[in-house]
Amino acid sequence: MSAMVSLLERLARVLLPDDGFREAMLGDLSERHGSESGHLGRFAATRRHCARLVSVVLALWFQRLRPSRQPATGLGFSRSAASRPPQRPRVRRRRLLLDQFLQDLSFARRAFARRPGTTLLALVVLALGIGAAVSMFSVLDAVILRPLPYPDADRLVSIHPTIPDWRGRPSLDSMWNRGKWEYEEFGEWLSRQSSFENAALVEDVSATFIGRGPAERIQVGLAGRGLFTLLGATPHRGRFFAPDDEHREPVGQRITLDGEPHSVIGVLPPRFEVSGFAGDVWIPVFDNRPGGRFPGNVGDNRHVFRALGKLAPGVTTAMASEETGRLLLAIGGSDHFTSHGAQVLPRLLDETQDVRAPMLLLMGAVLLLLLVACANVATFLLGQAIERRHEIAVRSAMGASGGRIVRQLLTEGAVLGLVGGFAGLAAARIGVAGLRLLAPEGLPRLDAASLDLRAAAFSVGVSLLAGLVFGLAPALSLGRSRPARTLRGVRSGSASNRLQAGMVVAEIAVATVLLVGAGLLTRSFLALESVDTGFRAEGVVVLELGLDYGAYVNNEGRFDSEAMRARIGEILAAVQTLPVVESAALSEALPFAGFSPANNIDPEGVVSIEDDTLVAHRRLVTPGYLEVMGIPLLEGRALRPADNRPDAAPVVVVNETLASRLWPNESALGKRLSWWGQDSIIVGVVAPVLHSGLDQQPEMKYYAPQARADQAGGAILAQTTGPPGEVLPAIRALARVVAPELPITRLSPLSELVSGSLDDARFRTRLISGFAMLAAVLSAMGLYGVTSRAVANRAREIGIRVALGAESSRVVALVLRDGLRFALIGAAVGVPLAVFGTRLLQGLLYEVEPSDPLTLTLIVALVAAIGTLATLVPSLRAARTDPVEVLKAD
Amino acid sequence: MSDSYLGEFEHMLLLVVLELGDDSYGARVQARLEERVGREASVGALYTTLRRLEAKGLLEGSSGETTPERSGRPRRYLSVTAEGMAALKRSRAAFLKLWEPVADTLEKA
Repeated sequence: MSAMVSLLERLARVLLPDDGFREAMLGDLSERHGSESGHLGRFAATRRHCARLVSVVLALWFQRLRPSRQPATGLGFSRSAASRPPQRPRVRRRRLLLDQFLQDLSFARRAFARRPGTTLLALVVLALGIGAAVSMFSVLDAVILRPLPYPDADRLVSIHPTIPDWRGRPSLDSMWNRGKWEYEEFGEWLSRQSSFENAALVEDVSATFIGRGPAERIQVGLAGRGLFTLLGATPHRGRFFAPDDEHREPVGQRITLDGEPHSVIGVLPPRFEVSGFAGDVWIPVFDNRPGGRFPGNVGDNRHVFRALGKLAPGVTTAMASEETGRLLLAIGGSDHFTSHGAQVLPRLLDETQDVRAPMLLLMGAVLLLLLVACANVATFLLGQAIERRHEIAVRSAMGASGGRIVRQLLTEGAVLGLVGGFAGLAAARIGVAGLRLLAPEGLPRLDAASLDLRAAAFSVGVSLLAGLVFGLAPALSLGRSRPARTLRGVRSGSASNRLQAGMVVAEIAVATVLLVGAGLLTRSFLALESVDTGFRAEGVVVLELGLDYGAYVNNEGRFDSEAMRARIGEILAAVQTLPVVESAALSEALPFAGFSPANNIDPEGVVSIEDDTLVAHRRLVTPGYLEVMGIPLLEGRALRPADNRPDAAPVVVVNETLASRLWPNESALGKRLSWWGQDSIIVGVVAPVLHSGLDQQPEMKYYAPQARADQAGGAILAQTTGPPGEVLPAIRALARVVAPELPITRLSPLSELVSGSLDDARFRTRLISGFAMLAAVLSAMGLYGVTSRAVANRAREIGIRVALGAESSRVVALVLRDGLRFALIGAAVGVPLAVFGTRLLQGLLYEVEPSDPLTLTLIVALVAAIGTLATLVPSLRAARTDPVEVLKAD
Repeated sequence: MSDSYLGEFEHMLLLVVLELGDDSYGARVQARLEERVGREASVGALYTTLRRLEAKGLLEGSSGETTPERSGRPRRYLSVTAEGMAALKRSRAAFLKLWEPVADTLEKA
């Protein structure tokens, strides 16, 4: 309600000039609102307040429109007509139009007041349609339309090096044009380029934070030189980084990140973020020597960064891409990471690329729903118009021109649309809240979705357009009617009947399109849900701890993986002692968590395979992992505890995908596979499992004993017995006792990770199904209305049939046949449209073709069933026609 | 403007503003009018008419203080201008002249 008030007040600001009068008036109204809340109650007072705001704003706005108008005086005259200065004809005409418009408005009010029930129904339908469209628009606007909240946001771009070699290679293809920068490479490029006004590196990592409380895993932003200036941020308190900050003695508040001390020098504004990443702490990256002192820079792994830039005025993204690509080629990166080009993308586009298509699809679906709602209201107005033939004929006979009548009907449509739009705006408040609740994680800037002025403008535009669309239908059919015939009692509604029938068929056709889309998405979703991951998730619980890399250092101050591995081993052993835990193991990456380490491999006797990629996904695990996950062993043996000793002979277990790809005609057992310089013997082959998504193919993968690599960390997976309600708290309690210094970053059933990977698909499927069902209900209502009116119009004919002895079943069949015919014509129009339209869904479907015959058949049957249901009541009513009553009425 | 008469609502509003004197602003005018006439005046009509009276120079507005209940918006105090007084007088004289011959008739009806 208070949002409504603020919306109306903003509307007042837009419509009325900024003078003392407007503000004083708004002040008067709030004063009165306040005093009324006391005795009327808040709700009633606010309702009155809103009504007053509307009437005042409208009244003043109209007064502005006709500034020259003399007030009608109570005494009936002001000056004699002769002494009035002659008006210019245009002014007079404008005034006439305005008067007529006001007249039309009051006609409209009266017309609707005469049929409160049906008017209310039409408003509810509109509110649903417009509410859904406005909610979706608010989300779409926040996520992909609104400019990013930075100065000169239209010139802000992402700069990606591209690696054309990766194109078309499995698991690399998705990254080929989204490369990252090496630190020195970027510096070199920046000094030579001329397309950008400014550019800066940025990256996000996580780190263990120790401040005053217990250790916590937090998000750390790495800010390259000039990042904050580029994004127009100003420090909320303190200052930003200076070039020599890395070497300066710390001042101010001290914190520890991954064991490294840092000092706080400034506080960012509360809402500062870079592409959805807010960063709890930002640290400068002005130096990137190997092992440099910032989180995530472990061992000799060198960080790579994303780059943001601001295009120089007049430079296009294409020009910038070309220059950057050329420079990168000239500079040449390090051996494993050579970029041969660049892709410069507008930042907004880059940030929203993945969600753009699904969002636009949802918006399209909701607009179709709105179309159905409009057609629905149009049939309603048409039905009403037929009943009003007499009234219109009288007005026309008394001299109202065709144009005047059309204008009146259009005004009625517009009024209905606007009122419906207002109701829709109220409905959209619930809608936006619902969407924000339902939406999967990772929709950027979703929390900025709200009903603001843009949403209000959209809803006013949509409502007016809708109003004109459905005002036009009756206007066209009635504006041309011949009054003399109507007044003489000649029934000539066939044109409007046809139009009504056309509207209903259109409604059913659009609803069919939506239903087909929903059907396809649902089938695809069910198919995804039933995909076998290859592992057994039941009973498996995941425990991930935020590891503090800074806490494990050797005498030389370098990261000591041995020490960390020992610590994790203790924790793993403790977990295994829990009575609810059957077995537990450690893995460096969790399935369906978005991260899958991979590296080059060198298999014995294999020079190259068809796609030239010898990259396999690596899993460093403790023995027992395969058993915990229930991954079937196909050949050989699994990893044993003895394999996990640093001095043991190096062995690996590979999955069948790798085995059959590299050694298609022989057993992989006993072959050598070299990775990270470790010459390992393959001792077992296991079944492939899915890792990155249910719609993905299994990758080539090998499992190696965790102790074989200078790498530690990962997550604990435990096969448990008992309900999660007991198991999870038991594990949490244990973790707090044995590892109080490590924050728990994840503790959940593994099945949650798998089902979480379906969140996007679930959201789309639910939403489109909801829209489709609404559209189906609306078109059923439309069909019901048209059939009811048809039955009423044919009462005489039906009465005669009944009088002549027609059985009720025959009468029911007669009406049902008509209804079914509408439904089937609608479906017949809708199916080809759907087949055409659902091709847009292609990328989102899994194992279902857009023109899946089963889905199409089911939907046609569903539409027929809905058609029958919607016509059943009117047909039964027709069967009960009392011939005496009907014929007496003649 | 000098030779025109006041509309009925304009007439009423000017009288209320005159009566309220120094304490005359929109919300107060409306309340007093309702008190005197006994029915709720449309806010739309009230503010369009007040604005028109200001535009015609019959009323004069001046910005005043604000209170928290007004969400920080100042009051606009109104006073009847000399021209407004003249218009009131003129209307009153016309009415009196018109009433005089029919006063008895109305009394008896």
